[in-house]
Amino acid sequence: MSGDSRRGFLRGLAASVAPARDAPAPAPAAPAQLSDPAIERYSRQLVLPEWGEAAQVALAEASVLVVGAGALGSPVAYYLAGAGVGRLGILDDDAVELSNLHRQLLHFTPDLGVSKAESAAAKLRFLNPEVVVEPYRVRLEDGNAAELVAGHDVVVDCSDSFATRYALNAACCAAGVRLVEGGVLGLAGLVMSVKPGSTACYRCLFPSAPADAPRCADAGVLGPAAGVVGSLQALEAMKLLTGVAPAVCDGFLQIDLASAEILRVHGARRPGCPDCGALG
Amino acid sequence: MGVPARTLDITGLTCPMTWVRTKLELERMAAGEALEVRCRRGEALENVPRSAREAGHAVSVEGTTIRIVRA
Repeated sequence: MSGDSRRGFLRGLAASVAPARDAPAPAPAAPAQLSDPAIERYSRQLVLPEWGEAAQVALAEASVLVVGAGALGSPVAYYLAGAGVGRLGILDDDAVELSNLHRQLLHFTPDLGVSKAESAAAKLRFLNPEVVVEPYRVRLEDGNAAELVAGHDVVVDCSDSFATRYALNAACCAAGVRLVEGGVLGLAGLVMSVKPGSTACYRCLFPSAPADAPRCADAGVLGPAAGVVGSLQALEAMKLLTGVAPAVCDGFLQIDLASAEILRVHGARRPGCPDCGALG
Repeated sequence: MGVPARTLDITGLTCPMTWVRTKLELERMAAGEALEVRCRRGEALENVPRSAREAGHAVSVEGTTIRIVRA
């Protein structure tokens, strides 16, 4: 079954269920949606009071683009595939290098030299054959961001450059696609979610890149620190897709893993923001 | 209580699938509808009524049959 027809099938299934995008909605008198193997595969999340069949179907119906298949993208894609997101786009134009392996969980030593998007996609298909995984071996830039973002329900930014971050933020705002931002450096990280037109976007809170911004290649990162930030990003995506709990919007989480402190910093939409100022 | 209840047989299941199946069945029902769950003695008979009560439903147990009215 192709990705498109599978999506159509899932959309049809989900149409009879109460929508579960931004508000949790129990579905009284809804017909059975999940197959027996799906109930078993997802049983440890279905058993949660906050979760349920409507949330599971909302995930199966969803399409998520993960930008970057490295230290952040690995846990993000792993958890979203494992949780049952219906369609996952994995975008990365790099190949696996030896220096990646201490933190990029989806790549292994035999993958050296292989496209990260393809390497990640292969592991994700093993993890959950129900998920349609689409690798994109391209670099996201201003010129192609709109096209790449189109059609997704949520985009998760797991890139390591401010240029990509701002290109994605602008494209997601223009297309009305929800965005999960994340970054990690050393033992510190940041996570925030954006609902374009209703909550602060990345540029609202960070109008321009820091002049002395180091890249991961220059600055170093501990694998588990990236794992923490990526795991939080995956959770944010699941919250946005199902509404089971509020995402971190209008602000960000400032994560200091040296002192083991997480601070929630509050912010607001900035009037005149070049990316989202003209929206709703 | 005169409404015919839905039935669910979880005698072949173990924790946590006993509650997962019961919970999904309840999600598919309307408020006030009743579900009769047939289970084995032991873990399921101890845990499913407790989980159902914690989820806010009305529960009564008779032998190995658990009757749950959806909240």
